[in-house]
Amino acid sequence: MNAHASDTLPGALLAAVVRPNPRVAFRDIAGQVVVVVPDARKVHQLNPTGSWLWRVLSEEARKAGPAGAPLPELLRSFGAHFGLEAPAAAADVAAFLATLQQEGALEVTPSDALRQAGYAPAGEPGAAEAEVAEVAS
Amino acid sequence: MTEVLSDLRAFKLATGAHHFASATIEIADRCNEVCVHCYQIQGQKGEMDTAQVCAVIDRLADAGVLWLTLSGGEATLRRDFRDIVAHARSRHFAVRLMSNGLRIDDNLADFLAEQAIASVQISLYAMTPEVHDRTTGVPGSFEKTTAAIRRLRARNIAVDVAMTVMQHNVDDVTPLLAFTAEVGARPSISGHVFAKEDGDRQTEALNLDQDRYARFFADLQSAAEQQSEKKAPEEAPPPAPNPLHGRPCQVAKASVHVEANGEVRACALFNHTFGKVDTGKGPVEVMRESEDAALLGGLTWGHIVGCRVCDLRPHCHRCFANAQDEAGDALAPYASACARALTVYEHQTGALAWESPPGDAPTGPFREVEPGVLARTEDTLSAEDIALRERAPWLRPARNLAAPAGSPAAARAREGFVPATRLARSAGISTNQST
Ligand code: SF4
Ligand code: SF4
Repeated sequence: MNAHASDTLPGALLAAVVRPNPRVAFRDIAGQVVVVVPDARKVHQLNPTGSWLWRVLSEEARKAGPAGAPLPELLRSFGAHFGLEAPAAAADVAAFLATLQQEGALEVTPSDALRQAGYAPAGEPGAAEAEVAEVAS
Repeated sequence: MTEVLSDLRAFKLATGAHHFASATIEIADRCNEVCVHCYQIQGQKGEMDTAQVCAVIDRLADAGVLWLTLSGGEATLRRDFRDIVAHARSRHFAVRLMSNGLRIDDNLADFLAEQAIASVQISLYAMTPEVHDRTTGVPGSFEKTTAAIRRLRARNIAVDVAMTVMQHNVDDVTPLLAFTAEVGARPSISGHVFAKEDGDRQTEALNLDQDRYARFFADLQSAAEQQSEKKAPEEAPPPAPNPLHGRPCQVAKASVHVEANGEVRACALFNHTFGKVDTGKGPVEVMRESEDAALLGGLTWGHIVGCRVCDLRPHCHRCFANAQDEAGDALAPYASACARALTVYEHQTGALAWESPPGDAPTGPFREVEPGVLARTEDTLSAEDIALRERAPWLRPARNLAAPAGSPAAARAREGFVPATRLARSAGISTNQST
């Protein structure tokens, strides 16, 4: 990763923190994280990349206390682990986090940080890609 | 990066990976109802204290268990019930509660909602108040239990309404299904009463007779058909061919059960203790290190003498624990499973005739002579079958009791009853020796 995430991150994300929604249940089952969202009656199975990210964010959030884990740090760890440039890491991670937030699995503070930065849940039309391209250029 | 699963699929992910994803702890050895059909005998096991229960919960979390069911007896009778739930939630479990609902007032319902409990299973036996109250032995229980269900649903807590269908409440199945639809609860209906855990089989007399079972089955089928009309065709459950290498159930594979006194079992009903949690091991470690548990978890239809040659296998939902109770042998056919399989077979083929009269309560294995026509058939014991019986005598408990002559346990054993381990132990007898 050549650039630090905060060099390219939209401003709305710089002060954002994330943590698993305290209402969910989660566990690593055979190498994949399974997240139960009781309020939505849904069980999410995360793929290996999403599972890696969940493990890091839940551990970082635990260490950080009630506030949650700083999002820029999370993006930096993700980019470093998967060898991605900051904009690509931000696009992947932020869309995923937006999906988890929409599903009630994740708390983001401020709650509209991802949307403000142009990241929509995966599958939902949003400005994330355009935004990242802009930031990267 | 995320895929939405049903609970069932996540459970299959766990069983496929041989991961113990689910556990039950019976936290209370007492109850405030006296249900006529209950398999439990309260007040004899003793209970783990708060620290012990929380230690078990910690070990389950460390072992990767996700779904934790708290049951009893009546779990809410414990003074530390809220502490236990809060501790389990702090360890990120999806907590399920099994309850009769009598103590779920607004205050407790609020607490369960705050804790984001995954679901509550409430036992309800009829929509006719007198029938429910007669079943539980507690006047007024119908009102309290249905009020508890409504309270939980009003707080958006998932509720499973568990009904055991017996001779005296079979007419309440359809009204109960209507009630669950009205309040947005999921029905969980069982047509089988188990023997009591001390081996007393008198409760089995409450089971549906063949005619009532057929009626019950037809009611359920039509409810399921109405339901599946509302669903996309690809969501219809696939047929269960029950191949010889498959397993009748997932016992000892992905879930573990802890008795109120810390004994570790494969499920609530299978009569064998694999170890105890007070030895410093967690329940999953006990299961993983137990050769008996590995053996039980490896049993397939191919190990079940008789059933492996039975043509009704695809229609059969037999249970190892039930077979222990009824046949005294977990690996043998037993009359009530055969009767239910015959009902399902008749319903699906539209006919049931016999090549020659099978007698009352025919027990398999059965051979399909032609569609709709059955005959009894036979299986033979192999050297492997005999070796398995010698290696795991606990699979055949009624044939395996070393009780002092003249003791009540010996009398029960003579009658073919399965002794509850703890009663056998308290009588100073061993259940681990062959006679
Ligand atoms: S042995 Fe019977 S009660 Fe136990 S898990 Fe299997 S089907 Fe269920
Ligand atoms: S119908 Fe009876 S013999 Fe046939 S598989 Fe079921 S329990 Fe075994």
